Parts: sequence; C-alpha cells; structure tokens
Amino acid sequence: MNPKYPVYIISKGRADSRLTSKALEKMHVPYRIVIEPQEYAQYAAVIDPAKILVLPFSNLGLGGIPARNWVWEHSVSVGAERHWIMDDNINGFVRLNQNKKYRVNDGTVFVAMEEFVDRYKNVPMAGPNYRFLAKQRQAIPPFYTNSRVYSCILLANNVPHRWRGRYNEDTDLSLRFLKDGFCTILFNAFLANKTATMTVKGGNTEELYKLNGQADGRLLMAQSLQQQHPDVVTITRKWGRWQHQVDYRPFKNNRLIRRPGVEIPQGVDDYGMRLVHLDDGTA
Amino acid sequence: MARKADYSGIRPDVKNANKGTERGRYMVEASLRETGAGRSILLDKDGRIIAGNKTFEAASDIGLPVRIVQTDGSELVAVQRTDLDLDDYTGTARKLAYYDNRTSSVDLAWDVEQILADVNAGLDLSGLWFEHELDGLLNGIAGEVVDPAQEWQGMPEFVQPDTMPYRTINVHFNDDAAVQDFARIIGQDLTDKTKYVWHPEQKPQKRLDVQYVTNES
Repeated sequence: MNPKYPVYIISKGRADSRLTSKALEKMHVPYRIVIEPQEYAQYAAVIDPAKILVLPFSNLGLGGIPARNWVWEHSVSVGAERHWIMDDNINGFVRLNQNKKYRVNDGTVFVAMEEFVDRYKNVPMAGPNYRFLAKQRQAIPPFYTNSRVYSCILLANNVPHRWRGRYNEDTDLSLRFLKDGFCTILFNAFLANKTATMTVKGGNTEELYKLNGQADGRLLMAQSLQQQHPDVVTITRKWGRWQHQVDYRPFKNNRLIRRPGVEIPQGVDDYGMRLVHLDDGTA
Repeated sequence: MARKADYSGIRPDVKNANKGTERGRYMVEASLRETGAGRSILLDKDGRIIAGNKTFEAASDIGLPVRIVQTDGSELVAVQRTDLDLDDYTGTARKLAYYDNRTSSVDLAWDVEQILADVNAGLDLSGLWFEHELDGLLNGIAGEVVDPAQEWQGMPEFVQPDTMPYRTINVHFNDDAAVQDFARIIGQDLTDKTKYVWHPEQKPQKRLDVQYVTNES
C-alpha cells in the first residue's frame, strides 16, 4: 500500500548518502526529491529524474524554509489535501509492537498514519516519532498528542500557516499550531529511523550549526526559538551543549475532534502487515 | 452651559454577539472620562450600531455629544485628536492607545446563542475562527477527552506493556577472576563490553532478518 498524499524529500548536498530516498526506494513508495538547481547532475545520476523537483532558487542561506514552503505550495497546486515532507537523513521506517521494533518493507505505515489523522478535523501536523526516542521497554501509548512533530511530517494544506524562521522550524510550526488550538499527533506505533543530526554530511542544518564559522550555532538556534515562543521555551545546557526546552503542558487541553460521520471500527486492523523471517519467509 | 447631547437616530444593535463585561464597561467609561473619545463607532444606514455598542452606551451615560460622519466605506475615516501628542510628556495619547487595545480585550464576552443563530442563518464566520475554535466556542469544549488506546481502535496492533527492570543492582568486582566467577554463577558470558545482564537471562533478538511485510509487498 502506498500513501495517498504526495511525499516530498527535501535534500541538499546528500546525493551520495540520500538515506530517505534509498529507504523509500526500497519500500517502493512513490516520492519526489526536491533539490537546488546546481545539484541536479549529482542527483540525476543516482535518482530517476522523474522523481526530481528542482527549486527555482539556490543557496539562499535561509536553511530549508524556502524549500519547505515551496513544497507546500507545490502540493497545494496538485490538489492535495495534505503532504508528507521528509528530511533526507531517515534510514528506514519501523513499527513498534509487543516491545519490539521491526522494519517495514512498504508504505503501509504511511497509509495507516494518514487514515488515522484523517479521522479528525483539527490535526494539521502529524508524523512518526524517532526510533531512538520511543523506548521499547516502556509502556507508552500508540501516539502522543500535542507535542512537536519532526523530520517526517504529514501536513494539512488547508491552513494559513507556513514555515518561517531559519532554525527549529519543526518545533516552531508545531507550537504555532498548538497555540491556535489545533492538535498534533506523534506516532509511537510507527517510527522513523532518523540518523542523529550532524552525522550525515550535507543538509541545511550543517550550514546553520556552523554560522559565521562558529562551531556552536546551537545557542543561536535555541535563542531564536525562545524569541519566537518566550512563553514556553527556555534554554538549558545539557550534555555539554545548548538546548532549547519546550513546555508543552499549556496545550494538554487541545482535544482531538472527530470528523462528523467517521465510523471507527473496533478491534485490530493490521492493514495486511505481518512479521516475516526474511531468510525462510516464515511468520 | 453644557451642550445637551442628541442621540436621536442612533440605536444599539440588539443582536450584538458581544455581551460585554462589567469590568469592560467600567474601563470604557474610565477611558472616555480620562482621555476623551478616541476611535469612532460605526452605524448602519438606519443608525443602528454595527461596532461600538459599548462605547456608545458609556458615552451616552456620561453625556458625551456625538458627531455623525457619513461615508459609504470607500474611504477610511480618520479621527484626528488635535489636543493629543504621542510625544507629550503627560502620556495621555499613549494611555489612550492602551485603553483602546485593552478595552477591546476586556470587554469581550461572546454571546454563544447569538453566534449560533447567526451561523444557522447562514452567516459565514469561517475566516474569523478556525473550525475547531468555533466548535469550542459553541459547544463549550474543544473536543473529547482522548484515551489513546481507545482511539487506536481499527489500527494495527499496539501492545506495549512496561517491561522495564523490576530492580537494578550495581555489582562491584575486585578483579577479572571475580567477574568470571560471577559469570559462571549466573550462567552467562560477561565480556569487556557487557554493561548489564538480565536475570533470568534475556537473549537479544536478531531484528534485521525479521520485517513487517504486507501481502502486496
């Protein structure tokens, strides 16, 4: 099964690694990769050109925001109600169940997430949690509401919001939605195997972390988010580096509102997914 | 002798969806008394108040005269206060700006029944509120209490019990012989890389050779 909403990967300087692209290829999930014009040759050498969308600008020095907003408008122009936007450093997707995390080999998890989100009329932003943040021994729910959604995001198109700023844009957009009374959904049942930031060469964040030749653009990034949301963001120093800390408690009363007429079947629907030992095909 | 105010021809809007508040009412009156009239109110062609019902109410209570400026909406009517200066050290103009913003906020109390009646009569308020906000306003609650497990009905199985250790004890060893002796006692291999063990033993499962597949894949 493949997602019904268009999937976009925004990528820069990662034609070689292109982890998300490789993961989706392996899963046979249709996608478009969005790149800057000067990198077309490198990407076209390794990705089907029909899957490449070339941005009408390059090297703006504004991080990924212009590309993200370009993607948003592109998805609106093709008549989509939502779109997936993914970072280019996701090394596969995973399902968590029975305290085990197993890879998935097709796009069914995206369909499941889409259909779950479509049950509600006030969820403009959703996506899978990071694999390493969903603790496999902990009793966690299948999804969290009203937190931030990052890196692999299903966005509604019929909202007036757009990406802004230069840093922490996922947290900023999550917070703006939450402040407008919307809900966000972060799935624990489905996870993105995101590589740690700055471990894969390229991307927009690399430029931003080394602003003005400084090794620690993290403080600027944290300060930027605090200026955008001084009511809920504080800056702390953890593990030897600056971090922003967001208090999501003010949004705990944002409640999911079901679309009228949505009937939710009882019980389990595995969408045809089953666990298989790849060596012998046994379940 | 003070000029007697003439309010004939001006009527409040009985369907005003803002009920106003007691505090707001006092604040509007205090504003008019302290800093005088600021922004204009707005009338329809028959003299019914479209915007500024509460200001008119307070102004008429204190006998403030009214001047009507007729316009068809094709130009912005700017009220110029010739006695005020934003740079004035007295701060009156500055305080009027605060009064203007603060009274709008404090004196706002939506009349849910009136909004509902307007919506049911076909008034499109979609650009003023998000749908969930209007739902929240009209229904008094912005949604249902969510039990994630209940909400997960009709979705792939998600069974995630707490399997965290019941108890963790640090065990200290004097030397490698003691480590190996302990390994023998518990029947498990301990290497230089071992950071913890489970008792009874829990073998890590190989994950890479197991995947979720669908019939289509």
